[in-house]
Amino acid sequence: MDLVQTDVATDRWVLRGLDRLIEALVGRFDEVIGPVVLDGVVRLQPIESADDLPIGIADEQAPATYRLRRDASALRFSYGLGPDSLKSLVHPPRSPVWTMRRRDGSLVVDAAHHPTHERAVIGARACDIDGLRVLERTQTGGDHADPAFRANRNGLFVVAVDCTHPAPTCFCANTGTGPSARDGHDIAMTELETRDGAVYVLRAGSERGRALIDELQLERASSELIRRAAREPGVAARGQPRSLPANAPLIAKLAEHPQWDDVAERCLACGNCTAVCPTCFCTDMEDVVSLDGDGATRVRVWDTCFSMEFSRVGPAPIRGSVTERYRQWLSHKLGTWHDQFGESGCVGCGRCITWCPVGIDLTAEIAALAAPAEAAR
Amino acid sequence: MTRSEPAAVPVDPLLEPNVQRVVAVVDEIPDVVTLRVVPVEGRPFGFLPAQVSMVGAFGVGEAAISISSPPTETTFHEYTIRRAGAITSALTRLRPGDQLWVRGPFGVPWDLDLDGRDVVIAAGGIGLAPLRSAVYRVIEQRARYRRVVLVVGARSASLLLYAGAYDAWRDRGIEVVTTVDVADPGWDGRVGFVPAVVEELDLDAGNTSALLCGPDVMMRLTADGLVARGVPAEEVQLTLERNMQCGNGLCGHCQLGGLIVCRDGPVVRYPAVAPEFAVPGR
Repeated sequence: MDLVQTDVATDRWVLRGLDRLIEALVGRFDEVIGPVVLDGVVRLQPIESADDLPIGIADEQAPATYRLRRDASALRFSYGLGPDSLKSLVHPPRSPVWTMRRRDGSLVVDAAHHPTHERAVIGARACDIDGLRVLERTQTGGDHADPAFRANRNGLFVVAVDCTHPAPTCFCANTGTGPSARDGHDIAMTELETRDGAVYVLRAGSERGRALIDELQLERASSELIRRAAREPGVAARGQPRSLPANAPLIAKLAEHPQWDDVAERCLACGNCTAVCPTCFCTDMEDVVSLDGDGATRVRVWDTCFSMEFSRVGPAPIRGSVTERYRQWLSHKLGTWHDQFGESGCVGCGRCITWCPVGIDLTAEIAALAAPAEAAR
Repeated sequence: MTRSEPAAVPVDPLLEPNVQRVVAVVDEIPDVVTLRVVPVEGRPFGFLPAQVSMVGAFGVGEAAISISSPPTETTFHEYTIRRAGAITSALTRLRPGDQLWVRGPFGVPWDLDLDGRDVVIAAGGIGLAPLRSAVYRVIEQRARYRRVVLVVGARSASLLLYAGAYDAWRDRGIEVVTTVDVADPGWDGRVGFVPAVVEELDLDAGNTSALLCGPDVMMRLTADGLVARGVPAEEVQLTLERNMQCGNGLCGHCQLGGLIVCRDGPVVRYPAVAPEFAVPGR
């Protein structure tokens, strides 16, 4: 263990192209997940070889805007975040909880089994790895840890890539969650463009990450590459235009402010923000009955606090207006999350800004809420 | 990194459904029934007053229902359920012999270590259900408390829950005060809302503790009234009803400000929710 800790701090290896790494991952995991261009969007999808990854793709992101375009580079990670976070892997949109059968008036339960699913993900960004940690605390940090989450997380081998092309919607430098992976990964890479094409400077984040690096018998990185790898992500993140103020947790918990009505005028209550958020964890239960009527599978599905049903008690929802529902989301994300879990629910990925169909920007909402209520009228 | 049989992660028993059988059904008031249930195998789990179970109907879903039988009763549990949505409609249609499932118990119970204090218990409508197990516990340990007053309010006399039990409770040393919003002919009890009736009680405020359950507004007005009279806010406990969907603190539905009600409640002390109660739609 001591050896690995020393290595994490100092040892760097170099990889030219990703073929060998991905071959090794495909050889040892049930599934390898990576960024893939699908319908004009970078999604997280199963991959079989390095050829499945994007190459020479750049993105344009802004509030309510996401576009890909080609560029001439040989880079495979030269774009910001797509809509999928690691949440999709460990806390999927639909997951079975149990199946119940009715036989002669008796109920028989088949509890869902949660075998550890051995998966690797390549290309995870630092903010998403931190989002995974935040999400994990919500689902496994209490007295009744979710076994499905735990099994999915335990089986996940994370190959991070430092973010060298953050989108203008993201603000990891402000939230302190990026652009370089610090922990939670097994291997982290920095992608650098050289005359010989894309080169990856690797560092180990865990013993099993180190074991894989050793098995690949990689060369040590040159001091010049190590210097570039240490510098380039930080330079890229320096230009991030957005931020949240230090008192955002207090501002988000304001009960009364005209800005809540203002944002509710624009908000469609569609729930896109909660779907793309790497930490929004809320779920609903559905009981799906078989055609013969004698089997029912209980399925946990993503839910959103923007739906009217979400807060229903008895005949009526507690949060009936969009004002109340947007306030709940932002107050929770930035404010009461601290009360519940001891930290913020926002990791600065900016997805809720990009994927909001009307371009609501939480950093702008916080800035408006920070203005005295009288001035905002 | 050698491949081996994947190890199954152990399952929390509170996440697994326990199949139970309905042994008796009591029609309480219109749209409200009490189910008496026993596990198909084994004995019912122990619980404390105000703790909650997720009670499930086959093919429909689960609802959070407080256990309203005596905590000393180890052979069965009772759940008093109001028909409101699809799940509670299915549950209230169950007949003796039918099966359902239960997960529990969850949540923070009433603090009944109120030795030597006067205890005001105030219930609005079906809010008496989460209080009934506390009433049983207080009766069982009656000598620990000084005066015990139960105020029960309902829209009309025919909607007073467990009305047949009030005289038995009186015989065991509980003052039971009933009040209705609308008096039917022949009603000789109080008329008015629960907060107003509690307001009129002659109390030794500094030595009074209160247990409240009912609609948010009833609890807020009752609590504010008690605090204004000098009952310490910390001595006012109330039980929250929110949309509990998992009972494990995982699904996010039952949040109230910084509280996750199934984890941090349902019983809380008034200062923990007073600011949230003051804002509609929280």
